[in-house]
Amino acid sequence: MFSRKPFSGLFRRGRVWLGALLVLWFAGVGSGLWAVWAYDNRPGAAAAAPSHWPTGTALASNPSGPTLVFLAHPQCTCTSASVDELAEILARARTKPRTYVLFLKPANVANGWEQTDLWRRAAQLPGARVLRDDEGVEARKFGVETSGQTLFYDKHGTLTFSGGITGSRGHAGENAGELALISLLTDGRADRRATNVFGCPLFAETD
Amino acid sequence: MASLELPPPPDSIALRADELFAKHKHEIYVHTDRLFASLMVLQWVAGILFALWISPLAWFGTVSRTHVHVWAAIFLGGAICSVPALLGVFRAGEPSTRYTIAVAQMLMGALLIHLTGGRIETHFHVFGSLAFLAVYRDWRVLVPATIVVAADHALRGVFWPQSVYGVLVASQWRWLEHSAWVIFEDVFLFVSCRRSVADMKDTALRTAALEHAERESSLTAAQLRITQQQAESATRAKSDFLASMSHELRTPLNAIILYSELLQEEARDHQQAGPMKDLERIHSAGNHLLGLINGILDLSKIEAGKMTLALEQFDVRAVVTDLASTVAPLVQKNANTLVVHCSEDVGPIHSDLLRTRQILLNLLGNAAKFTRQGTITLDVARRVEGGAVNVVFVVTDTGVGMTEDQQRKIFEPFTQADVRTTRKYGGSGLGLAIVARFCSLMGGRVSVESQLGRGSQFTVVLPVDVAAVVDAALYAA
Repeated sequence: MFSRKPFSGLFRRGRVWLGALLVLWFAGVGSGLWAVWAYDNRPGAAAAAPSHWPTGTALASNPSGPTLVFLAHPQCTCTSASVDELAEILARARTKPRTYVLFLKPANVANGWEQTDLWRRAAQLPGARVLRDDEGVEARKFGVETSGQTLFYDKHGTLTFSGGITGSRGHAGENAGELALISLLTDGRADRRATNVFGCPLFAETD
Repeated sequence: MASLELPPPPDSIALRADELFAKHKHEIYVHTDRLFASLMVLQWVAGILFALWISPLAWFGTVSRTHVHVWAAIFLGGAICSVPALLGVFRAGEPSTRYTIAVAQMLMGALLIHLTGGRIETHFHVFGSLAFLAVYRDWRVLVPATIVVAADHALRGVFWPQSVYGVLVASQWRWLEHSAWVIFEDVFLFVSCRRSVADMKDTALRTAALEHAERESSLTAAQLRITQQQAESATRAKSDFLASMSHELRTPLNAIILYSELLQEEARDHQQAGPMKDLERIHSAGNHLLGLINGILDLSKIEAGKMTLALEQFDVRAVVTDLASTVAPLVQKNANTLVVHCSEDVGPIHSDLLRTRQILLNLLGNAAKFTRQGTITLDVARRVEGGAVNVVFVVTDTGVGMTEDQQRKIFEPFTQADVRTTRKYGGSGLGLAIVARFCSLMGGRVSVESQLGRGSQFTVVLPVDVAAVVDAALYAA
């Protein structure tokens, strides 16, 4: 007995194969995107910042108002979003804090290594004091290990906030850290005192 | 006999419109699939360039490595783009291809947003892609695209809400707000797709109707050509038949006329008055019949294209003078007066003498026949019209005249002013038809002006040199 459409079975089988291939493809690329999202949302090492303004630091705290300390790896592309968010915070804050932006300068790199586009953009932030952190001395004093870590000390030198100011790695846009700092600088209070920080590690394991 | 295919029934317009619409739709799908195949490659390359520009390296203190985004742009971007690009090339036009492209386009949007650090500007990729997908004019492709966007926001909202909404804890329904804006655009695109499809259907229907009309028109034209050919063929056959029949009729008729003349002479010689009247009637009827047959023969020859001209140089004044004396008895029969005005400079003419004489004889004969106790005038003059030199013959009578309707038909064969004319004045209705055809044959023309009850005026214009005007094939030496 002959089928009326002798190739219909072949076509049906072809469609099944194509459907299976497309399902596999979708599952594959979906998993890939999931992996990228997971990487971008994996926080860096949290800071073990002193609860009071550390002694021995070269930085001077602001006795009449809050002090912001932002530590950055000058080559970290993810920190670019953090600098943008810092600019947003300073622009929207009612109380202008004393702001330190410290760029890491390891010992074994050439002079000028830290003079990146990030440095130049940070230098344009209103009222920000951009400084070089030779060999990460200040970073270590403040217990910071991840680029983009932002510390908020009140006028009494008490640590009020410690965390990142981006929603994920290198991801611009409104986020919990940014909102907390704006709230602190505007109303003097915030609903959270810490957030995850997303950025490059300031120190390699061998450092 | 030629045969023609019948025109398609009107239902076929709708069927053809469906066919045209389906074809056009498929062409759009294929074309858009290929555009997206190119776009996929472009987006892949753009993603790699973005990654290399924005985040080429990840740093660990003083140590750097290629950033995960670069590898994602190369491999994940390649995986997202390759399948739809291949389908766009090798399976263009298939539904599975455009749905895969729709999904891939949104996945690529998600990846590009990541690669550019979540820039708000890159989010326009999503809305631009939806608009581009609408180029398919198939609203169904918007569905998987929208589902991918909604799923992206819903999943990330659950696992990493801050990366989507900027807050650490978001409502589980917040993804609906984002999806609603996508659906907001979808609504306009849906309307646009539906309208485009309606326009396409309308265009297909118009095209099908136009094709149908063109087909019918060409069939009608072909039918007309065939009918014309058949009519011409029938006319030629009729003319051939008439010509041969007229020739066959003339021979015995000439014998009848001749014998009636001989019998008349014999009766006169023997002074037998009794049969004379009957013999005269036979002779007169024979001559009338001969004239009729000659007319039919001439007309048939012309219509069959067998009439030739015998061109010669002759003096117009001499011909006119001769004609005046020839028609004098006919003119006087109804107590008419003939007046001839022939200008001095009319000169010679190079034409067919016999046909020219016959034209004038027919016109003067008609004028004499339809005029009683009136005046018949023949005016002859040379006239230059538009560089051509002509001789103009004008025959005017004060006879019965004609209506406008009668004037329009007067040069058609077997046509007289009306049926009563034939009964009252006799004649076959061939004289003026022959005049018109002779004039045309000699490159001239004839026209008439008339008023019922006031008389008629026939104007014949003949070129001075017929050979310079008409086709040489028409005349013989």
